[in-house]
Amino acid sequence: MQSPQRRWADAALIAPLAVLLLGPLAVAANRLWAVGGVDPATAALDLSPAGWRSAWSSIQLAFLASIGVVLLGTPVAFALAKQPARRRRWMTTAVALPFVTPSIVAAVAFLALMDVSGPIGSTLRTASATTLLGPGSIALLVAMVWFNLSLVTRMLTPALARTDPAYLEQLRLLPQGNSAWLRFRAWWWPVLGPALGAAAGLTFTFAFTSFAVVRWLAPEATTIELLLAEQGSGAGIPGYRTGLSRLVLGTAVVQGLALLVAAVVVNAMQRHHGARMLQTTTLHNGDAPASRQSTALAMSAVVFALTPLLAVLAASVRVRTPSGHRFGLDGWRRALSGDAGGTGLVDAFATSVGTAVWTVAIAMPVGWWCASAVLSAERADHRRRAQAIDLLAMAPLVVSSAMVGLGSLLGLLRFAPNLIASPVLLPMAHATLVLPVVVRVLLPAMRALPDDLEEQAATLGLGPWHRWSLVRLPMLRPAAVVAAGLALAFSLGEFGASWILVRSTGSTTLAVLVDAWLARPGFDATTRPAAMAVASVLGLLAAGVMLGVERWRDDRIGGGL
Amino acid sequence: MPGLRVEGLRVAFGEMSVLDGLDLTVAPGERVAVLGPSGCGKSTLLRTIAGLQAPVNGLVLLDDDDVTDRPPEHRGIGLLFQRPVLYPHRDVAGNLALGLPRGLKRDERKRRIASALVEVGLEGFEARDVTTLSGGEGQRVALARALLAEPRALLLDEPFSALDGTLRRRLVETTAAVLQERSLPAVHVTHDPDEAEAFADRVFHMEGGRLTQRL
Repeated sequence: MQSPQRRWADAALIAPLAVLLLGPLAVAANRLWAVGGVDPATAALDLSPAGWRSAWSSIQLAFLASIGVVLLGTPVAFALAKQPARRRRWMTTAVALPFVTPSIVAAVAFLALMDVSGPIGSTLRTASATTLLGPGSIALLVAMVWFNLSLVTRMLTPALARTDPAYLEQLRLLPQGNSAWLRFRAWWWPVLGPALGAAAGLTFTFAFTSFAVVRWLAPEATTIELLLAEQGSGAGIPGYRTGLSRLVLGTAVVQGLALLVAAVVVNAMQRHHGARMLQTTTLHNGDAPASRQSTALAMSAVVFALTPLLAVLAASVRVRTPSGHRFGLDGWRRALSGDAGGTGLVDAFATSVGTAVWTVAIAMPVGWWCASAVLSAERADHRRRAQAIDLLAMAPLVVSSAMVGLGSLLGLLRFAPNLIASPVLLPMAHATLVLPVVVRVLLPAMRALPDDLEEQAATLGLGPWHRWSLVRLPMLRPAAVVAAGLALAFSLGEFGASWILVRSTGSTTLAVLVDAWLARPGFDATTRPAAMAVASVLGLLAAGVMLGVERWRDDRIGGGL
Repeated sequence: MPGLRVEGLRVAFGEMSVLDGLDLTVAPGERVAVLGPSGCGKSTLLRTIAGLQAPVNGLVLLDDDDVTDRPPEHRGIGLLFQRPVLYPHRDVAGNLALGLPRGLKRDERKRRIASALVEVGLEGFEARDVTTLSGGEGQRVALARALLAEPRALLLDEPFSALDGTLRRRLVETTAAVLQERSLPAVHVTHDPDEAEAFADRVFHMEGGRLTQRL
């Protein structure tokens, strides 16, 4: 039973959280409604052809990226699972690096790869020039698959490597398991299906809300996120381009609905996946000898994951000359000096790190409380309440970061204009955006914690505080470290909301600085190397955080993150 | 000769021989028990007969049919693992259905499942969630499933070792009676001499990768 105190404490959390998460959205919707003169439902139904084009384009790209991730990720996950435990660990980590790579770094990484002479560059350039889905779309799809590949490997590899082999052996001895197809249908599909569904749903969500990679790899693409980010700042101004306000409101509603469906699917699939993993895995690490083919495939995945990142580093020291190129540190020097009135690399580094630390400081306690509230409602058998809180915590995934940025800006302009240039603004927006990640890591770990550990502690005379600090916290420390690490990495690389908010706060983050260097007009041989230098620092920072927290990760209960 | 026959079976892990030229013959309806300490190769013997472990050399014959190179799914041999391997995403009936031949009509499937459950004393358990079953109930479901597959021989890898005394005795008796009725050759490995005596017609001791019959 859930105690009344616990229910009140949960309510005290949920109400402000709902305001914080949904408030910016409500403010933005309210303003667009007032200026555009139509309600959100009508704006969505009467969407202009341009709005539908952007919606269709986003859905197509996100859907194809999800299919690509599943088709490529599944054999890679099987290949990784067949590797000996230690090799599997570092290979899985390497394949996961793109996932924490800031989106702007991913964008410049693929731009850098296209510049490379040889088969990789020419293939990407040729693919990018095809008009299937629009110029640049193939490179964009490859980048989206590269980004999200680890969602499949993270979820499937532990299941494949640690599932008790007796299940498959037993099935081979039964009539309904005497062929590979029957075994797939009776065993692998029920075990892996939810994980694949969750990975596909998350890929759809991330691809749907991609901004930086779309902006730089397929500039002619008209996705909803791009439309919201680029046109959003001109919307919501009374008496000015009311059609634009209607377009932004309508596309935001369509985006919200598509992402809501994806979030519900991800939520349900992750719950099934988590439960099945705990039922079917053992603590052994399968150490069967890996075949050459599986090792070759796993190594190819590692190379695929690392090549774009190395390309960024290489491009930062490659300076174009009239006769070709030369290697030098001109780009790094320019990035450090921040000439022409721009922010220097060191200042942007300090802003990014400071923002990320504040983001973690805000998101961790809120995320912890949220996950505890979901768990407590689940254990008290209040499923609807648990689902409502869980979905609320997922809300930032359902809303584009551009909308969060725009909503925060509009909300502050209306209710607290003095805070508009506050340094707290950016960490608050980032904390909102990383909250789902924190909850998605903590909640499965909390679910996996047996009830009787705390019950036993209570029988030993430990009060609630001691039970929390001596039992619960130490047992959840690994998950907490991973959650904090991921929140830190995601905040460092966040681009959409920062891009909008930085205009008011004036403090440039590394991600925004990369974009600023890339967008600098006119030809200068050191501009692109300067962008690559900033992107290298950002990429290395995110990778360092990821590698630092990796040893804390328990892949049985990580929920795929 | 009908029944299960193992000739000159040798299994090695690296340099270490676990089974070293092992011979065993089990007639139809005969129950054989193999005793031995942990790690002596009892489970390896069963896994090799079932086809889950490849031998270095030797033969496995079933009713004079050489099945040594056949994959486990095409041998027609049932195996009960030490713990009941029940699929958590299926209920009891769903687990039992895995033991039925494909293409059966729904009514026939239900009838066979119900009768298999009666045979192991679990009448009406069709819709039960397998994660809520006790150890003994789980093992009986696993036994019913193995029997539904109509194997030509049944192997038992200490399936009763985790159960308490009374329940274990009862299950040993139930299993022995079912095997007797179906005239199946069966090999049961255990480290409990009393259980071996209660179950088997002949008891062997495993040592140095070979079997010696206990008198």
